[in-house]
Amino acid sequence: MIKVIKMPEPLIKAINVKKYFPVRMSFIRSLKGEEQKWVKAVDDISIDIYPKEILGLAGESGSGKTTFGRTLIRLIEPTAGSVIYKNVDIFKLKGSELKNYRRKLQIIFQDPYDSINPRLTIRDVVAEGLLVNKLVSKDKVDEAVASALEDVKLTPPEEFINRYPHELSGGQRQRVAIARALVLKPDFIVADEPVSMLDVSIRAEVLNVMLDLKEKYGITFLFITHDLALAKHMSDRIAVMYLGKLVELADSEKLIDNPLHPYTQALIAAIPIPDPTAKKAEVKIKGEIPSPINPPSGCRFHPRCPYVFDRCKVEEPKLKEVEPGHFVACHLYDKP
Amino acid sequence: MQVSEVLKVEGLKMYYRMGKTYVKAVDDISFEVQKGKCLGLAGESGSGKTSIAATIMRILPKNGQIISGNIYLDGQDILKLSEEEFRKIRWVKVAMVPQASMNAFDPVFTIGDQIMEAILTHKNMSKDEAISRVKELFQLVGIDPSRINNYPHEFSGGMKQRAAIAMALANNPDIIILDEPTTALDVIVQAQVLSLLRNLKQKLNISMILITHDLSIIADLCDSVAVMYAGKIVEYGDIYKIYKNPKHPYTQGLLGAFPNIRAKKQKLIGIPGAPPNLANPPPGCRFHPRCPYDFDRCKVEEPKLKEVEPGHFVACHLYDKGDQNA
Repeated sequence: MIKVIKMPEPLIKAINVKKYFPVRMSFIRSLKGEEQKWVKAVDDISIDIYPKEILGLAGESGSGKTTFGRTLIRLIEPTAGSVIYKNVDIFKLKGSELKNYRRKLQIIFQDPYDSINPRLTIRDVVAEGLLVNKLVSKDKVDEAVASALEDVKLTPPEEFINRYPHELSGGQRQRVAIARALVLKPDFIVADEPVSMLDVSIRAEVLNVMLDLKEKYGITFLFITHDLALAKHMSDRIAVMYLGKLVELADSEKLIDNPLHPYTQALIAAIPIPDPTAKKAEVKIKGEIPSPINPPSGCRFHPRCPYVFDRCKVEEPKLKEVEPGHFVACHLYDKP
Repeated sequence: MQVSEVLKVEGLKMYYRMGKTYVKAVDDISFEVQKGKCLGLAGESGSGKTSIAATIMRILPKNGQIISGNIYLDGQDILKLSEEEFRKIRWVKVAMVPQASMNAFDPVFTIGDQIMEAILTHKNMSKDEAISRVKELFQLVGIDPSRINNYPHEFSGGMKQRAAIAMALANNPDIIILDEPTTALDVIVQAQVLSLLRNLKQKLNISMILITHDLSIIADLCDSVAVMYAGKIVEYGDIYKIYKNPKHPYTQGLLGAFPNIRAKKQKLIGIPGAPPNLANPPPGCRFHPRCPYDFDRCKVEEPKLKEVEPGHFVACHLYDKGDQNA
């Protein structure tokens, strides 16, 4: 379990969350009695997320970051575990009760060209959640939409409210997606790679809007990204995932300046620096992320780890606090 | 030793015809690539980077028209060659690793067979010779030669990208064009591929054009850089000079838009607005509607690329006082 000293009550408390997806099997194979295989996308993750923080969730493709993010707000039904939000386990909620919580837990998807209905005007896109949840009376809808658009710097709002998504740039669309989440006055937003589809020059405005919203409304974010430089820029703390497991968690500056897990070290060393005089990245680790269907025994990183020793091959390391607020799951830091 | 340019592009204009209008995707572009050197073509989507590559390789769609310009490959103007003559050069003297080519391998043939096809189409050699050439290529790009009979689905993403590079190298070209070679790859695999490209460049003394939106990848691999905006080169020259002292407001904006992991946290400064529609680009300097320093002249007069220090060219009126060279 994670213990934190002198921290406020967590807003979201994930406890032993697991999500396994069944691997499709042919009828013949199931008749033969072959064992059902599972993709262990999220395998026993516990983490506390504190009010008004941006928690960066980093990792390569296939590490389970998106599945974990979606499971946290129950867009995906979990296999096991619980998520406590305001003393309630949201995995146990049903019907209208769940609907009330959904409003508070929102998401921004990766691709703003896919996640916004092209047939709706910006007003209808942003207002839909308001109307579904009956949050404002019909005559107040425009006002609420306009104020959300202002918050995401789509100003003046009257210039955008009647337009269609195809008339907007990628960055503007992504800000519409943020406004759509924002009108519901959420406590927690999962931002799943919100700028990876956008051109470099327009990323900054989307990121700056998110930072502003955190300050203005105290919204808590889970910021999912594969880019550690971006995670450092945006987040208060960073969690690193590898093959469905959490391998390291710390304050963002600390994690980048003093990474402990060999995987985090490799990730940071691999990032190219926009400066031709910088030392070129040397890649110490070989190969690519293995399949989550049949993950390596012991520590899942051991086949690629430059510091592997016998214990790593048999015993799975637990996430342990090695310095205040700095957690790592690695036998190197766990002298028995 | 004399430096020789392997590729020299002069005043190239290539427009796409769209009904009655033209989309000016490549508009008066000039650059050169020296032997064993790498030029980075940087810019956002729609800036014309890939269109330049398609023009050099002659793989333009039907509505792509070369309006004017010259492309010299080893001193020969390849735009003057007939289709038949150019086919003898394509993939022999100039080869390309297109964007997402790692997913362009045919799933029903082995990777070895597909690379062999590229060799046998151009070279007169026996099948056995071709097989040993493929094994040699595998070794060169860091794939175990025993995997020559594997199908694409048996390769990981990083290995497929290595195989695509091997295919481009198959006939010992003088120059290869790499279009976003690491975009779909994870950061660790990206670093592996970049270090492979660095080694190949040194070992084979091959010239490269690297197309990417990511300025940090160019910093990693290239010797010179051309920053493109809306079909134009806005800044061009030696990589050290440009990264140390970016002159064009667009280049400054691009560099400022990247968070640097080794630097202190600071507010990211984006560039307001979005790139223009190339069917109807803004008059004067195409960047002026988004430029923080624009003044009257920018709206009417197009800036020319001028040398501001040896080996560093900028197309911006800020550095072009009067009509004199600075």
